Amino acid sequence: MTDLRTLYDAFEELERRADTVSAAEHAAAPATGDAVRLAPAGPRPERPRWAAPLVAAVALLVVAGGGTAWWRVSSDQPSRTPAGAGQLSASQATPSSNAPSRAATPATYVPPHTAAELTAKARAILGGLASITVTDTGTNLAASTPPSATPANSSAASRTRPASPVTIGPGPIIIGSSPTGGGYYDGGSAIVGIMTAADGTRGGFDLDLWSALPAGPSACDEGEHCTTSTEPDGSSLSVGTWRDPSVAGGLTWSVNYVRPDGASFAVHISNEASPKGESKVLAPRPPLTLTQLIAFVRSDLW
Amino acid sequence: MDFGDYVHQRRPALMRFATVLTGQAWLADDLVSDVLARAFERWDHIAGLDQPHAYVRRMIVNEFLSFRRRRRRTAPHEDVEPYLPELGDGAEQRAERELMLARLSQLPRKQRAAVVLRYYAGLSDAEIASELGCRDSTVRSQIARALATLRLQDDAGQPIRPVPDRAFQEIR
Repeated sequence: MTDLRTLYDAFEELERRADTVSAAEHAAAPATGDAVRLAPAGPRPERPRWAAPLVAAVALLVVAGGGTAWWRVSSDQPSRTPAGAGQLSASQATPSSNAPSRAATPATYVPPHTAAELTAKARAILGGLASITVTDTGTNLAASTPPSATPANSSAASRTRPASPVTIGPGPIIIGSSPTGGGYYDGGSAIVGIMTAADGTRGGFDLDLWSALPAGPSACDEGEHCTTSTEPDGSSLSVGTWRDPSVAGGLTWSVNYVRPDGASFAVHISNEASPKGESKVLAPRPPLTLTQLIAFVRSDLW
Repeated sequence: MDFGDYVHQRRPALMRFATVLTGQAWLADDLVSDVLARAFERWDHIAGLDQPHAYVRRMIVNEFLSFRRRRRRTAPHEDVEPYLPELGDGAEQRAERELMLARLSQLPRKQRAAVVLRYYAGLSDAEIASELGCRDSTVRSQIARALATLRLQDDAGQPIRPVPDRAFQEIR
Protein backbone atom coordinates (compact mmCIF):
# COMPACT_ATOMS: atom_id res chain seq x y z
CA MET A 1 0.00 0.00 0.00
CA THR A 2 1.12 3.52 -0.64
CA ASP A 3 -0.15 7.02 -0.03
CA LEU A 4 -1.87 9.66 -2.09
CA ARG A 5 1.34 11.60 -2.51
CA THR A 6 2.61 8.90 -4.86
CA LEU A 7 -0.40 9.49 -7.06
CA TYR A 8 0.41 13.20 -7.20
CA ASP A 9 4.02 12.32 -8.02
CA ALA A 10 2.78 10.19 -10.90
CA PHE A 11 0.63 13.05 -12.14
CA GLU A 12 3.60 15.41 -11.98
CA GLU A 13 5.73 12.97 -13.93
CA LEU A 14 3.07 12.78 -16.62
CA GLU A 15 2.92 16.58 -16.68
CA ARG A 16 6.67 16.65 -17.27
CA ARG A 17 6.23 14.30 -20.21
CA ALA A 18 3.47 16.49 -21.58
CA ASP A 19 5.69 19.56 -21.28
CA THR A 20 8.50 17.75 -23.04
CA VAL A 21 6.28 17.02 -26.01
CA SER A 22 4.91 20.57 -25.99
CA ALA A 23 8.41 22.01 -25.90
CA ALA A 24 9.65 19.70 -28.64
CA GLU A 25 6.66 20.55 -30.77
CA HIS A 26 7.16 24.24 -30.20
CA ALA A 27 10.85 24.08 -31.00
CA ALA A 28 10.28 22.11 -34.17
CA ALA A 29 7.51 24.24 -35.57
CA PRO A 30 9.42 27.26 -36.91
CA ALA A 31 12.20 25.20 -38.45
CA THR A 32 10.11 22.56 -40.13
CA GLY A 33 6.84 24.28 -40.68
CA ASP A 34 5.20 21.17 -39.32
CA ALA A 35 3.65 22.64 -36.25
CA VAL A 36 1.64 19.54 -35.51
CA ARG A 37 4.51 17.15 -35.08
CA LEU A 38 3.39 14.59 -32.55
CA ALA A 39 6.40 12.51 -31.69
CA PRO A 40 10.09 12.88 -32.35
CA ALA A 41 10.62 9.38 -33.64
CA GLY A 42 8.76 6.51 -35.13
CA PRO A 43 5.93 6.42 -37.62
CA ARG A 44 3.58 9.33 -37.50
CA PRO A 45 -0.01 8.35 -36.86
CA GLU A 46 -2.35 8.99 -39.69
CA ARG A 47 -4.70 11.84 -38.99
CA PRO A 48 -8.05 12.27 -40.67
CA ARG A 49 -7.64 14.37 -43.78
CA TRP A 50 -10.22 16.88 -42.67
CA ALA A 51 -8.43 17.53 -39.42
CA ALA A 52 -4.94 18.21 -40.67
CA PRO A 53 -5.41 21.73 -42.07
CA LEU A 54 -7.36 22.80 -39.03
CA VAL A 55 -4.85 21.43 -36.58
CA ALA A 56 -2.01 23.04 -38.48
CA ALA A 57 -3.87 26.33 -38.40
CA VAL A 58 -4.43 25.94 -34.68
CA ALA A 59 -0.79 25.26 -33.96
CA LEU A 60 0.40 28.04 -36.22
CA LEU A 61 -1.93 30.42 -34.49
CA VAL A 62 -0.28 29.47 -31.25
CA VAL A 63 3.19 29.99 -32.61
CA ALA A 64 2.29 33.23 -34.33
CA GLY A 65 0.56 34.45 -31.22
CA GLY A 66 3.72 34.45 -29.19
CA GLY A 67 4.50 30.97 -28.08
CA THR A 68 6.76 32.15 -25.32
CA ALA A 69 3.82 32.32 -23.00
CA TRP A 70 3.48 28.58 -23.08
CA TRP A 71 7.08 27.81 -23.72
CA ARG A 72 8.00 25.29 -21.13
CA VAL A 73 10.57 26.40 -18.63
CA SER A 74 13.54 24.16 -19.11
CA SER A 75 14.14 21.83 -16.23
CA ASP A 76 17.81 22.70 -16.05
CA GLN A 77 17.43 26.39 -16.80
CA PRO A 78 14.61 27.68 -14.65
CA SER A 79 13.45 31.10 -15.68
CA ARG A 80 13.85 33.86 -13.15
CA THR A 81 11.88 36.42 -15.08
CA PRO A 82 8.35 37.32 -14.13
CA ALA A 83 7.17 36.34 -17.59
CA GLY A 84 8.47 32.84 -17.14
CA ALA A 85 7.57 32.71 -13.54
CA GLY A 86 3.90 32.31 -14.24
CA GLN A 87 4.47 28.97 -15.87
CA LEU A 88 4.25 26.74 -12.85
CA SER A 89 5.58 23.85 -14.81
CA ALA A 90 5.94 20.41 -13.41
CA SER A 91 9.67 20.80 -13.77
CA GLN A 92 9.53 23.46 -11.12
CA ALA A 93 7.55 21.11 -8.99
CA THR A 94 10.30 18.56 -8.88
CA PRO A 95 13.02 18.46 -6.31
CA SER A 96 15.56 17.70 -9.01
CA SER A 97 14.86 20.93 -10.85
CA ASN A 98 14.82 23.02 -7.75
CA ALA A 99 17.93 21.66 -6.17
CA PRO A 100 20.54 23.41 -8.33
CA SER A 101 19.16 26.84 -7.58
CA ARG A 102 18.55 25.85 -3.98
CA ALA A 103 22.25 25.25 -3.58
CA ALA A 104 22.85 28.93 -4.30
CA THR A 105 20.45 30.20 -1.65
CA PRO A 106 21.71 31.47 1.70
CA ALA A 107 22.04 29.03 4.53
CA THR A 108 19.24 30.77 6.36
CA TYR A 109 16.24 31.95 4.41
CA VAL A 110 15.16 35.54 4.93
CA PRO A 111 11.45 35.81 4.25
CA PRO A 112 9.63 38.90 2.98
CA HIS A 113 9.02 41.24 5.88
CA THR A 114 6.12 43.15 4.41
CA ALA A 115 2.87 42.02 2.92
CA ALA A 116 3.62 44.15 -0.13
CA GLU A 117 6.86 42.29 -0.74
CA LEU A 118 5.20 38.93 -0.20
CA THR A 119 2.36 39.90 -2.52
CA ALA A 120 4.78 41.01 -5.22
CA LYS A 121 6.65 37.72 -5.05
CA ALA A 122 3.45 35.71 -5.14
CA ARG A 123 2.22 37.66 -8.16
CA ALA A 124 5.52 37.23 -9.97
CA ILE A 125 5.46 33.49 -9.41
CA LEU A 126 1.83 33.13 -10.40
CA GLY A 127 2.36 35.25 -13.51
CA GLY A 128 -0.55 34.80 -15.87
CA LEU A 129 -1.79 31.70 -14.13
CA ALA A 130 -3.85 33.61 -11.59
CA SER A 131 -4.22 36.99 -9.99
CA ILE A 132 -4.64 37.79 -6.33
CA THR A 133 -6.49 40.47 -4.42
CA VAL A 134 -5.18 40.90 -0.90
CA THR A 135 -7.75 41.68 1.76
CA ASP A 136 -5.78 41.12 4.97
CA THR A 137 -2.11 41.30 5.74
CA GLY A 138 0.17 40.94 8.68
CA THR A 139 3.03 39.14 10.30
CA ASN A 140 2.50 35.93 12.10
CA LEU A 141 -1.07 36.25 10.97
CA ALA A 142 -3.51 33.62 12.07
CA ALA A 143 -4.48 33.49 8.43
CA SER A 144 -4.51 29.78 8.14
CA THR A 145 -6.43 29.11 11.29
CA PRO A 146 -9.91 27.79 10.61
CA PRO A 147 -12.79 29.21 12.62
CA SER A 148 -12.69 28.61 16.32
CA ALA A 149 -16.07 27.00 15.93
CA THR A 150 -14.35 24.10 14.22
CA PRO A 151 -11.43 23.32 16.46
CA ALA A 152 -11.04 19.93 14.89
CA ASN A 153 -9.76 21.70 11.81
CA SER A 154 -7.30 24.03 13.43
CA SER A 155 -4.26 24.39 11.27
CA ALA A 156 -0.83 23.02 11.76
CA ALA A 157 0.55 26.53 11.49
CA SER A 158 -1.41 27.64 14.49
CA ARG A 159 -0.23 24.63 16.43
CA THR A 160 3.41 24.74 15.54
CA ARG A 161 4.10 28.44 15.37
CA PRO A 162 4.86 30.56 18.44
CA ALA A 163 1.92 32.13 20.15
CA SER A 164 3.08 35.67 19.49
CA PRO A 165 0.71 38.60 18.93
CA VAL A 166 -1.62 38.27 16.00
CA THR A 167 -1.72 41.42 13.97
CA ILE A 168 -3.65 42.61 10.99
CA GLY A 169 -1.83 45.16 8.94
CA PRO A 170 1.77 46.21 9.52
CA GLY A 171 2.82 44.49 12.66
CA PRO A 172 5.83 43.45 14.64
CA ILE A 173 8.44 41.46 12.82
CA ILE A 174 9.79 38.81 15.09
CA ILE A 175 13.39 37.98 14.47
CA GLY A 176 15.52 36.11 16.92
CA SER A 177 15.36 33.07 19.04
CA SER A 178 12.36 30.89 18.71
CA PRO A 179 9.99 31.14 21.65
CA THR A 180 9.82 27.39 21.49
CA GLY A 181 13.43 27.24 22.58
CA GLY A 182 16.69 27.85 20.74
CA GLY A 183 17.18 28.18 17.04
CA TYR A 184 16.27 31.05 14.79
CA TYR A 185 12.89 32.50 14.02
CA ASP A 186 11.78 35.22 11.62
CA GLY A 187 8.06 35.91 11.55
CA GLY A 188 8.08 36.91 7.88
CA SER A 189 4.72 38.02 6.57
CA ALA A 190 1.33 36.75 5.55
CA ILE A 191 -1.47 37.69 3.21
CA VAL A 192 -5.09 36.68 2.84
CA GLY A 193 -7.38 37.35 -0.08
CA ILE A 194 -9.07 36.14 -3.20
CA MET A 195 -7.31 34.37 -6.04
CA THR A 196 -8.71 34.43 -9.55
CA ALA A 197 -7.45 31.93 -12.08
CA ALA A 198 -7.02 32.82 -15.74
CA ASP A 199 -10.30 31.05 -16.50
CA GLY A 200 -12.14 33.15 -13.93
CA THR A 201 -12.29 30.53 -11.19
CA ARG A 202 -12.22 32.35 -7.85
CA GLY A 203 -11.49 31.27 -4.33
CA GLY A 204 -10.08 32.42 -1.03
CA PHE A 205 -6.46 31.89 -0.18
CA ASP A 206 -3.98 32.57 2.54
CA LEU A 207 -0.22 32.51 2.37
CA ASP A 208 2.08 32.59 5.33
CA LEU A 209 5.84 32.63 4.83
CA TRP A 210 8.34 32.68 7.64
CA SER A 211 11.72 31.25 8.50
CA ALA A 212 12.69 28.96 11.35
CA LEU A 213 15.77 26.96 12.16
CA PRO A 214 16.34 24.22 12.82
CA ALA A 215 13.92 23.33 10.09
CA GLY A 216 11.41 20.86 11.41
CA PRO A 217 9.16 18.59 9.42
CA SER A 218 6.09 20.10 7.82
CA ALA A 219 2.80 19.32 9.47
CA CYS A 220 -0.68 18.56 8.32
CA ASP A 221 -3.70 20.55 9.34
CA GLU A 222 -5.98 18.70 11.67
CA GLY A 223 -9.16 17.27 10.30
CA GLU A 224 -8.01 17.00 6.71
CA HIS A 225 -6.83 14.14 4.58
CA CYS A 226 -3.13 14.79 4.34
CA THR A 227 0.13 13.16 3.41
CA THR A 228 3.64 14.21 4.35
CA SER A 229 6.74 13.37 2.40
CA THR A 230 10.41 14.22 2.57
CA GLU A 231 12.02 15.39 -0.63
CA PRO A 232 15.47 14.26 -1.73
CA ASP A 233 16.85 17.72 -0.92
CA GLY A 234 15.57 17.41 2.65
CA SER A 235 12.50 19.60 2.23
CA SER A 236 9.36 18.42 3.94
CA LEU A 237 6.02 18.67 2.16
CA SER A 238 2.55 18.13 3.55
CA VAL A 239 -0.37 18.18 1.16
CA GLY A 240 -3.89 18.16 2.50
CA THR A 241 -7.49 18.20 1.36
CA TRP A 242 -10.24 19.49 3.59
CA ARG A 243 -13.91 19.33 2.74
CA ASP A 244 -15.81 21.86 4.75
CA PRO A 245 -18.39 19.91 6.75
CA SER A 246 -20.55 22.99 7.14
CA VAL A 247 -20.69 24.07 3.50
CA ALA A 248 -21.82 21.77 0.72
CA GLY A 249 -19.09 21.54 -1.86
CA GLY A 250 -16.61 23.55 0.20
CA LEU A 251 -13.13 22.34 -0.63
CA THR A 252 -9.81 23.64 0.63
CA TRP A 253 -6.37 22.45 -0.32
CA SER A 254 -3.40 23.05 1.93
CA VAL A 255 0.30 22.83 1.42
CA ASN A 256 2.77 23.13 4.25
CA TYR A 257 6.34 23.16 3.04
CA VAL A 258 9.56 23.47 5.02
CA ARG A 259 12.89 23.84 3.28
CA PRO A 260 16.25 22.98 4.81
CA ASP A 261 17.16 26.70 4.82
CA GLY A 262 14.27 27.36 7.19
CA ALA A 263 11.80 28.77 4.67
CA SER A 264 8.39 27.70 5.90
CA PHE A 265 5.25 27.99 3.85
CA ALA A 266 1.67 27.52 4.93
CA VAL A 267 -0.74 28.10 2.10
CA HIS A 268 -4.41 27.32 1.75
CA ILE A 269 -6.55 27.73 -1.30
CA SER A 270 -10.25 27.15 -1.40
CA ASN A 271 -13.30 27.34 -3.59
CA GLU A 272 -14.92 29.24 -0.75
CA ALA A 273 -14.51 32.96 -0.15
CA SER A 274 -12.48 32.14 2.93
CA PRO A 275 -9.98 29.30 3.14
CA LYS A 276 -11.05 28.98 6.75
CA GLY A 277 -14.38 27.65 5.56
CA GLU A 278 -17.91 28.52 6.59
CA SER A 279 -18.20 30.98 3.74
CA LYS A 280 -19.78 31.31 0.33
CA VAL A 281 -18.74 28.86 -2.35
CA LEU A 282 -17.40 30.85 -5.29
CA ALA A 283 -16.51 28.08 -7.73
CA PRO A 284 -16.73 24.32 -8.15
CA ARG A 285 -13.06 23.97 -7.25
CA PRO A 286 -10.15 26.06 -5.99
CA PRO A 287 -8.49 28.34 -8.55
CA LEU A 288 -5.29 26.29 -8.58
CA THR A 289 -4.84 22.56 -8.79
CA LEU A 290 -2.90 20.85 -6.05
CA THR A 291 -0.03 20.31 -8.44
CA GLN A 292 0.04 24.00 -9.26
CA LEU A 293 -0.11 24.84 -5.58
CA ILE A 294 2.87 22.60 -4.86
CA ALA A 295 4.79 24.13 -7.74
CA PHE A 296 3.92 27.55 -6.34
CA VAL A 297 5.62 26.94 -3.00
CA ARG A 298 8.49 25.11 -4.62
CA SER A 299 9.33 27.98 -6.93
CA ASP A 300 12.92 29.15 -6.73
CA LEU A 301 11.71 32.75 -6.95
CA TRP A 302 10.84 32.94 -3.26
CA MET B 1 -11.92 35.12 -26.28
CA ASP B 2 -11.14 34.14 -29.83
CA PHE B 3 -9.95 30.70 -30.70
CA GLY B 4 -6.33 31.70 -31.21
CA ASP B 5 -6.16 33.25 -27.75
CA TYR B 6 -7.73 30.19 -26.23
CA VAL B 7 -5.24 27.84 -27.81
CA HIS B 8 -2.42 30.17 -26.92
CA GLN B 9 -3.40 30.16 -23.27
CA ARG B 10 -4.81 26.72 -22.76
CA ARG B 11 -3.08 24.21 -24.95
CA PRO B 12 -0.30 23.44 -22.43
CA ALA B 13 -2.87 22.81 -19.71
CA LEU B 14 -4.92 20.64 -22.06
CA MET B 15 -1.79 18.68 -22.97
CA ARG B 16 -1.02 18.05 -19.31
CA PHE B 17 -4.57 17.01 -18.55
CA ALA B 18 -4.70 14.72 -21.55
CA THR B 19 -1.35 13.18 -20.70
CA VAL B 20 -2.41 12.48 -17.14
CA LEU B 21 -5.60 11.02 -18.54
CA THR B 22 -4.04 8.81 -21.18
CA GLY B 23 -0.66 8.16 -19.60
CA GLN B 24 1.07 8.76 -22.93
CA ALA B 25 2.21 12.14 -24.11
CA TRP B 26 2.19 11.29 -27.80
CA LEU B 27 -1.37 10.07 -27.57
CA ALA B 28 -2.36 13.12 -25.56
CA ASP B 29 -0.89 15.38 -28.23
CA ASP B 30 -2.85 13.56 -30.89
CA LEU B 31 -6.00 13.71 -28.83
CA VAL B 32 -5.68 17.40 -27.97
CA SER B 33 -4.97 18.31 -31.58
CA ASP B 34 -8.05 16.49 -32.80
CA VAL B 35 -10.24 17.96 -30.09
CA LEU B 36 -9.02 21.49 -30.81
CA ALA B 37 -9.68 20.95 -34.48
CA ARG B 38 -13.27 20.04 -33.67
CA ALA B 39 -13.57 22.86 -31.19
CA PHE B 40 -12.43 25.28 -33.89
CA GLU B 41 -15.37 24.30 -36.03
CA ARG B 42 -17.79 25.06 -33.19
CA TRP B 43 -15.94 27.87 -31.50
CA ASP B 44 -18.73 30.39 -31.86
CA HIS B 45 -20.90 28.14 -29.75
CA ILE B 46 -18.18 27.10 -27.28
CA ALA B 47 -16.94 30.64 -26.70
CA GLY B 48 -20.44 31.64 -25.66
CA LEU B 49 -20.59 29.07 -22.87
CA ASP B 50 -19.99 29.98 -19.25
CA GLN B 51 -16.96 27.71 -19.05
CA PRO B 52 -15.47 27.07 -22.48
CA HIS B 53 -12.47 25.34 -20.98
CA ALA B 54 -14.62 22.88 -19.08
CA TYR B 55 -16.41 22.10 -22.31
CA VAL B 56 -13.18 21.42 -24.16
CA ARG B 57 -11.93 19.33 -21.26
CA ARG B 58 -15.08 17.27 -21.50
CA MET B 59 -14.44 16.80 -25.20
CA ILE B 60 -11.03 15.41 -24.28
CA VAL B 61 -12.54 13.03 -21.74
CA ASN B 62 -15.07 11.82 -24.30
CA GLU B 63 -12.33 11.33 -26.83
CA PHE B 64 -10.32 9.37 -24.29
CA LEU B 65 -13.29 7.16 -23.52
CA SER B 66 -13.59 6.36 -27.22
CA PHE B 67 -10.02 5.16 -27.19
CA ARG B 68 -10.76 1.96 -29.04
CA ARG B 69 -11.81 3.85 -32.12
CA ARG B 70 -8.66 5.92 -31.95
CA ARG B 71 -6.34 2.95 -31.67
CA ARG B 72 -7.53 1.60 -34.95
CA ARG B 73 -6.06 4.51 -36.83
CA THR B 74 -2.91 5.16 -34.86
CA ALA B 75 0.25 3.22 -34.38
CA PRO B 76 2.02 2.70 -31.06
CA HIS B 77 4.81 5.14 -30.36
CA GLU B 78 7.71 5.03 -28.07
CA ASP B 79 6.88 7.51 -25.38
CA VAL B 80 9.12 10.48 -24.81
CA GLU B 81 11.00 10.20 -21.57
CA PRO B 82 12.45 13.51 -20.40
CA TYR B 83 15.98 13.51 -19.11
CA LEU B 84 15.71 14.55 -15.51
CA PRO B 85 18.92 14.16 -13.57
CA GLU B 86 18.16 12.86 -10.14
CA LEU B 87 19.89 14.56 -7.27
CA GLY B 88 20.39 12.67 -4.09
CA ASP B 89 19.12 9.15 -4.00
CA GLY B 90 15.42 9.43 -4.62
CA ALA B 91 15.45 5.89 -5.91
CA GLU B 92 12.65 4.75 -3.66
CA GLN B 93 10.43 7.66 -4.58
CA ARG B 94 11.11 7.10 -8.25
CA ALA B 95 10.34 3.42 -7.94
CA GLU B 96 7.06 4.16 -6.18
CA ARG B 97 6.16 6.66 -8.86
CA GLU B 98 6.88 4.22 -11.66
CA LEU B 99 4.85 1.58 -9.89
CA MET B 100 1.98 4.01 -9.57
CA LEU B 101 2.21 4.86 -13.27
CA ALA B 102 2.07 1.18 -14.09
CA ARG B 103 -0.99 0.71 -11.89
CA LEU B 104 -2.66 3.74 -13.43
CA SER B 105 -2.16 2.25 -16.86
CA GLN B 106 -3.98 -0.89 -15.73
CA LEU B 107 -7.15 0.97 -14.80
CA PRO B 108 -10.15 0.73 -17.08
CA ARG B 109 -10.58 4.02 -18.90
CA LYS B 110 -13.65 5.13 -17.01
CA GLN B 111 -12.04 4.43 -13.65
CA ARG B 112 -8.93 6.28 -14.69
CA ALA B 113 -10.96 9.22 -15.90
CA ALA B 114 -12.80 9.35 -12.59
CA VAL B 115 -9.55 9.28 -10.61
CA VAL B 116 -7.98 11.98 -12.76
CA LEU B 117 -11.03 14.19 -12.59
CA ARG B 118 -11.15 13.94 -8.81
CA TYR B 119 -7.49 13.99 -7.80
CA TYR B 120 -6.01 15.98 -10.66
CA ALA B 121 -8.80 18.28 -11.78
CA GLY B 122 -10.32 18.47 -8.31
CA LEU B 123 -13.91 17.94 -9.40
CA SER B 124 -16.70 16.84 -7.10
CA ASP B 125 -18.51 13.56 -7.65
CA ALA B 126 -21.46 15.42 -9.14
CA GLU B 127 -19.22 17.16 -11.62
CA ILE B 128 -17.44 13.94 -12.48
CA ALA B 129 -20.78 12.24 -12.98
CA SER B 130 -21.76 14.99 -15.36
CA GLU B 131 -18.51 14.67 -17.27
CA LEU B 132 -18.74 10.91 -17.54
CA GLY B 133 -22.47 10.73 -18.06
CA CYS B 134 -23.22 8.51 -15.11
CA ARG B 135 -24.68 8.69 -11.61
CA ASP B 136 -22.84 10.02 -8.56
CA SER B 137 -22.96 6.59 -6.96
CA THR B 138 -21.32 5.12 -10.03
CA VAL B 139 -18.52 7.65 -9.76
CA ARG B 140 -17.93 6.69 -6.15
CA SER B 141 -17.85 2.99 -6.94
CA GLN B 142 -15.53 3.57 -9.90
CA ILE B 143 -13.14 5.56 -7.75
CA ALA B 144 -13.29 3.03 -4.93
CA ARG B 145 -12.37 0.24 -7.32
CA ALA B 146 -9.62 2.34 -8.83
CA LEU B 147 -8.11 3.15 -5.45
CA ALA B 148 -8.09 -0.52 -4.60
CA THR B 149 -6.18 -1.24 -7.81
CA LEU B 150 -3.80 1.61 -7.09
CA ARG B 151 -3.40 0.28 -3.55
CA LEU B 152 -3.77 3.72 -2.11
CA GLN B 153 -4.07 4.40 1.55
CA ASP B 154 -3.99 7.52 3.61
CA ASP B 155 -1.18 8.57 5.90
CA ALA B 156 -2.83 6.90 8.85
CA GLY B 157 -2.47 3.56 7.15
CA GLN B 158 -6.15 3.22 6.47
CA PRO B 159 -7.49 2.67 2.96
CA ILE B 160 -9.04 5.81 1.51
CA ARG B 161 -12.77 5.81 1.97
CA PRO B 162 -15.29 7.99 0.24
CA VAL B 163 -16.01 11.14 2.19
CA PRO B 164 -19.56 11.54 3.52
CA ASP B 165 -22.22 12.11 0.94
CA ARG B 166 -22.90 15.61 2.15
CA ALA B 167 -19.49 16.64 0.94
CA PHE B 168 -20.53 15.70 -2.55
CA GLN B 169 -23.70 17.69 -2.84
CA GLU B 170 -23.78 19.58 -6.06
CA ILE B 171 -22.91 23.23 -5.77
CA ARG B 172 -25.91 25.39 -6.42
